[in-house]
Amino acid sequence: MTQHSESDILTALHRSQEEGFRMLAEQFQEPLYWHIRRLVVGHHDSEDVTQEAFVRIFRGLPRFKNHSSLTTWVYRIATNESLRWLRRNAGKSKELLSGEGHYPQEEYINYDDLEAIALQRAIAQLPRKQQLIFNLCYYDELDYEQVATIVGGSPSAAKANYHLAKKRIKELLLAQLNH
Amino acid sequence: MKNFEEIEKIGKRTPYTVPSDFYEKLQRRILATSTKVTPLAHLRLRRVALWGGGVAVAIAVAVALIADEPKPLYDFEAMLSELSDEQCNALIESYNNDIFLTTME
Repeated sequence: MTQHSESDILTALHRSQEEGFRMLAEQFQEPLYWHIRRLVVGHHDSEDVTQEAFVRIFRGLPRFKNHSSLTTWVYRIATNESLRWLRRNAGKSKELLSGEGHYPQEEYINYDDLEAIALQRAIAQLPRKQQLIFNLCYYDELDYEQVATIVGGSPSAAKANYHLAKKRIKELLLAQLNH
Repeated sequence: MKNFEEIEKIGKRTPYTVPSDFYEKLQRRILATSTKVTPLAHLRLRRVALWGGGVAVAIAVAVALIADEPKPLYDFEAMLSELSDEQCNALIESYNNDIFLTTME
């Protein structure tokens, strides 16, 4: 994956919109897709949400000010887009993860990987904000300040929520083991 | 799933996969969309222009309506100023003698 610094991307955007967009997509499409995928679950849905998030990012770029980093700004847009999709498609992601119910099994989910499925199901049972904080800290390795900027609240609240989320996930996994 | 320790070994592995050459396709899709994107600033300008145009049209219509407002058949003050004293007295006299006008008061 090509690496571009935030300042390189912003400089490129001033120079040429096309080049800036390309660098932005190269830098963020993969992490944003996976951030969205862990919330939305379905591959095709996540692809659509990622595309919509980038449309919003490109449109919003003139509004972007350097008050926050480009990373937290694009993550916030991707998060909002995912939450919007989740509101419109209540229950779909959990059903896809369970492989049962109204929706057929998703081609791009390995249902044989029981441990990984169990972990994702446990994460999906967390309150939405905790789920977001856990994903951003654990998978995206963002620091508490960045996470707080994305989901709202203070860095210390993000830290507390992350630890609560980890504890809760362990409890949920143990409950699944004993089931 | 045999025990809890096994779960903890999952690390960052997820059950999710993507098709081969997915990222290249995704990038093409994203950039194809970006060519159709009008930056927000342009949208704002367009919105301001639309609002401005709307207001201008509203003002023009209002002015036209005022300009086209039918004038009274007689500008009473102007007519009086053009009358001679004799004509004025005759008018007052006929007014005072007009039963319909005086009973209406």
